Amino acid sequence: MKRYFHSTLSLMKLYLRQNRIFTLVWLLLPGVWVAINTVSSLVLFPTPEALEEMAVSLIDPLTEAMHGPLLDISVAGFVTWRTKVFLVLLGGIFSIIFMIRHTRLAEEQGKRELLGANVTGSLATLAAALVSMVLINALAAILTFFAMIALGLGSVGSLAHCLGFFAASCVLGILAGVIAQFFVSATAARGMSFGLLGLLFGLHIMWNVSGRHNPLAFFNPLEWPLLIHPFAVERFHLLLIPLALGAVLMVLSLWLIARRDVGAGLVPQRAGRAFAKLGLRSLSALAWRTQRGLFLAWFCFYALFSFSLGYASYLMVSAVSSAEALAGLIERLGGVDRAFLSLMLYVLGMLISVYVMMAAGILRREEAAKGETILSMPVRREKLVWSHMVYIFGGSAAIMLMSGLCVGLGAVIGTGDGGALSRLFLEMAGMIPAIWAIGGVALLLFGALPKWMSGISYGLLTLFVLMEIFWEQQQIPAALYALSPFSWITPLKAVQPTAAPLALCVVTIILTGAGIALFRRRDAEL
Amino acid sequence: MSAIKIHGLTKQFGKTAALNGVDLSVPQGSVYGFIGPNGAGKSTAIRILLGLLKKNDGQVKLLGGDPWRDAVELHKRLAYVPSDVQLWDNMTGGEVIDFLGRLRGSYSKARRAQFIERFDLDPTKKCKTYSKGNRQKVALISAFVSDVELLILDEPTTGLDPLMEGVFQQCVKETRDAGKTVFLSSHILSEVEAVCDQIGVTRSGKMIEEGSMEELKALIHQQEPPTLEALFLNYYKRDAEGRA
Repeated sequence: MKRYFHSTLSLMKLYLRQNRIFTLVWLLLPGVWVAINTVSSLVLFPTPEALEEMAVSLIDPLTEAMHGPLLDISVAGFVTWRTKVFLVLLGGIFSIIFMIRHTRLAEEQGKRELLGANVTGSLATLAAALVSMVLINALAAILTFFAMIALGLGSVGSLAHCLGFFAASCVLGILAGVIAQFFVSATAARGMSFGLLGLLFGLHIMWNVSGRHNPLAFFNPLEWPLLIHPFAVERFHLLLIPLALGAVLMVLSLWLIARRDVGAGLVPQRAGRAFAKLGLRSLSALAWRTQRGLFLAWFCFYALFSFSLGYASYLMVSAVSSAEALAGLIERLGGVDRAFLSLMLYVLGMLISVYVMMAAGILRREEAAKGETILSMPVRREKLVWSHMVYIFGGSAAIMLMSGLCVGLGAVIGTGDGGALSRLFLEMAGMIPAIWAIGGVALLLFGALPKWMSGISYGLLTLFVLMEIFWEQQQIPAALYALSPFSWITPLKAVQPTAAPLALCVVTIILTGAGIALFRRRDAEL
Repeated sequence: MSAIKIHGLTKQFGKTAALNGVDLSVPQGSVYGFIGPNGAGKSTAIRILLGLLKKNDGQVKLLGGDPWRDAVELHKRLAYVPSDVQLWDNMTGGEVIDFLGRLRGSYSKARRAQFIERFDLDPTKKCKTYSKGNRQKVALISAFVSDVELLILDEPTTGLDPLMEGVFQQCVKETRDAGKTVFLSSHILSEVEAVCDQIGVTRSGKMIEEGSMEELKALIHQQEPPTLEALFLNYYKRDAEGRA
């Protein structure tokens, strides 16, 4: 045993000390999410009649496709039904990231070599990652369990719910540990794990839509929290499946790691092309190589998500309309369906500023890591910035236009309202100048304070979002809120000045121009 | 005629002076060895020559131009190898060599094949899988394949095995024989002794010695043992005593 597992405990301590914020979010988010859902359900459905009504009005094919059948008409039954998919996805994603980080990524970075050369057992690095992952998931489930008990949901049903998502998260993490043995690159292993999670999710939806029970569902972690029947005659013996599956996969991953060299995979690396394509001859071609992954991921995700959002929008109408607190807001936004979609689009639009920051971050990393190579070429400095501006400005605009188009198409198909397409498309397009202004801020910082660019720009973004919240609660004056680019596109203001988009574009041009001018004059920050 | 001429060059980073009045001159067609301990300001001087950093004071002439103002034009006529080569993870070595060659504008397929063969590089591998030595080879090949007047090399052979070190020295000599200039910053004194015909010694942001290899040879013979290394250890000792 010593040969294999020596120092596993010390390694676990090492892993748990790293990425504390990541771990904290992972620990607390499930409990907080369940608590929020419980409290809002208690408020929304104060009487059994209200619950009955909800069970009839809210349960439609689309909701069922996502969450499966509602087993028990009670607040507890509703909360477990409503939160389980999210909890498994959350636990699964965190477990996958954690496992890949401490297995394949550590190996890629040479950390496993360093640890392996120390006094550690040959399987200790993987074993420590597995045990830590299970421990964190267990703690998250325990916290959630206590939150449910504290809010007065029954203890047996709560236990079943928590065990259900705990088992599913762990098995997904263990699966990532197996996958990590096959690929040499962490990116490939992570992509494969998430791909598998996506596949399981697709199957989950397909089975829910078909409405028939598929025996294979017993082997899909996403089904376990439903199959365990929380608050509806719990079936705890179902847990034998994840227990057996988890144990087998865990042994498999340990068996695989013992059978391969450090740094090697079980899937051999493919050779790439020996000669570059003819098109790879300019900085813009290079920028496409460095930016395309990020751009395509956001573009596709936004297209899909926006379409589903538009398609499902009518379902939300019934859910939101009964909430009295929202009535005033809804009226201001011109009716329930419009209010919901406008708000969702606004949030979606704001989130694209994260893409803008990430794209600008790539430009900064190109300078920091490869600046010596690129800037010693016969190219003008501003061309490097231009090549990435295509993504910071053009890419974000393309994502937003696509999103507007898809949400509009979805709404037209879902509701049959033919006017929705142009209305929603224009609404999304109207937000582009504000997102561009954020890109302008990032580029100004790139020119002025390259070392602090990433920190300050994310800090400013957070500040803008906070200003939004405080303004909504009327805690800051409108004049202060006006400093945030978002204030000029928020649907919460009844009218916006017609010149706002133009003004935002002018601001963007000034900020960007200043950023580029400063970059041309400053030392390369390597 | 000098390929590089520097006079009284200073560069400050905040309060610390990285360069404190550097003077050096690199004759055209020579191989110039730029030597100094870690932190002596070698890389800073090179980055000023490349127009990556702005000088605070002094005169710098590179191939007859101003390295900051005329960067784009000058970079067509030179190739550079950094000491710590970072490449694009998702590109192969072959793609990087092609890309950099096309960007610089003076590059031929025949020379590419020749240097990939000489440095024994597998161009089909993704850059992220290359070892340090192999990344260094990619940068060296991409510099040698270009038909340029000046090569600026900043500790280019760290991580190369002795066999490849030999290939590198051969390539440098051929470059000089073709009438081109090489500016080589290095720690490896045997390498400098083997290929350089001009030498500049720097320490703490200043030049403490500059001359031709011929002149130094006479000095080396007075050392015990008679090596360049012994001579430089003496220089640094003397310089340190002078400060004390």
